[in-house]
Amino acid sequence: MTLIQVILISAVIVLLLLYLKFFKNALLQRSLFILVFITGIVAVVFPELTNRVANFVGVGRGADLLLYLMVIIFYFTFIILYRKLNKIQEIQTEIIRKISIRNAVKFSNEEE
Amino acid sequence: LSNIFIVIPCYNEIRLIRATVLSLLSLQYEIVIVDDGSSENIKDEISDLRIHYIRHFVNLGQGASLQTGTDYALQNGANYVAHFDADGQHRREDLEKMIDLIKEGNIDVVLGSRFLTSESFDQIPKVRKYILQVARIINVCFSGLWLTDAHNGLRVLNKRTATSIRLKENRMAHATEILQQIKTKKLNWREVSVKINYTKYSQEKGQSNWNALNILFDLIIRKFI
Repeated sequence: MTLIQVILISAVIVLLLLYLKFFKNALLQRSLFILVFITGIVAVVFPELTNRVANFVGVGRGADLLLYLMVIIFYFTFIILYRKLNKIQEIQTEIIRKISIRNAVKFSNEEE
Repeated sequence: LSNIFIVIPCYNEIRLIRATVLSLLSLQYEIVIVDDGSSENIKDEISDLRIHYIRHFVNLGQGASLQTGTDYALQNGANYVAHFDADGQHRREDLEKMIDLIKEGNIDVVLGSRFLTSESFDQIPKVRKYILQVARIINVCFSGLWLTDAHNGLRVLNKRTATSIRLKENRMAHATEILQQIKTKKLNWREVSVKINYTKYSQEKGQSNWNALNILFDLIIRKFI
């Protein structure tokens, strides 16, 4: 086993533990993620496997295929997070609006 | 209490807010100042005048301020809600004219326009004219309303319009958002010629021409994402 493999596998294990600690979501989703992590470890241990998958879909190297997938996933994540952020901003606006209206003051001119 | 409410969003326009309010006081309308988290002390500047004062404790943007003021007006029995800028660029005569028109009852929303008469058209700075022409085209793409003016801050809504329009665009793109909702809610609209006072101050403090790109970006994001 090369040094990079050791580093990558430890990183994946740490990520998996962090994921399980912070994301307490449904069992199905958790199993899916664990599957992704296991695939990651397998790909690190047997790099030729990713090459074979890449060749199958018509890409030269496994690393290239991974890059393409990462770019797509990145943009999807970006859009999903952007929507969430927007939603939170709307809620925040609504809260501030409610508080502001509750605290509204009416001034009157004594001379009138 | 009058049932006509003038909503004036205000963000650090301390030098002009008082004059703007004073110019409107004699009309006997209810004036609602929405202080959008200004760092300047707007409240003390105008607390001796007959107004309603609302403050966002953080800055949310002009669209959000207009929505806050409109909500407040409706909760206090408004039949008509006008949007008016704080920096002294709108004229009280125009506001009165628009309110008279909407009171006739056939129209749901009256929009100010700088492009209906040559007199008001000639005062617009040149670069701004071109940007506004492009903005018209963008407006028609996004809202389907073909207006003569694109981003005029002066408008008067009747109760039906004020309750059915809901601004989600916190920043400047709300002007197009209003048009989109006028279209989808099938509201009766009319443009009325207004003049804009392009003072040195309002040009320095107001929106820069580059901000047009920001507005476009907001619109595209909202439309497609």
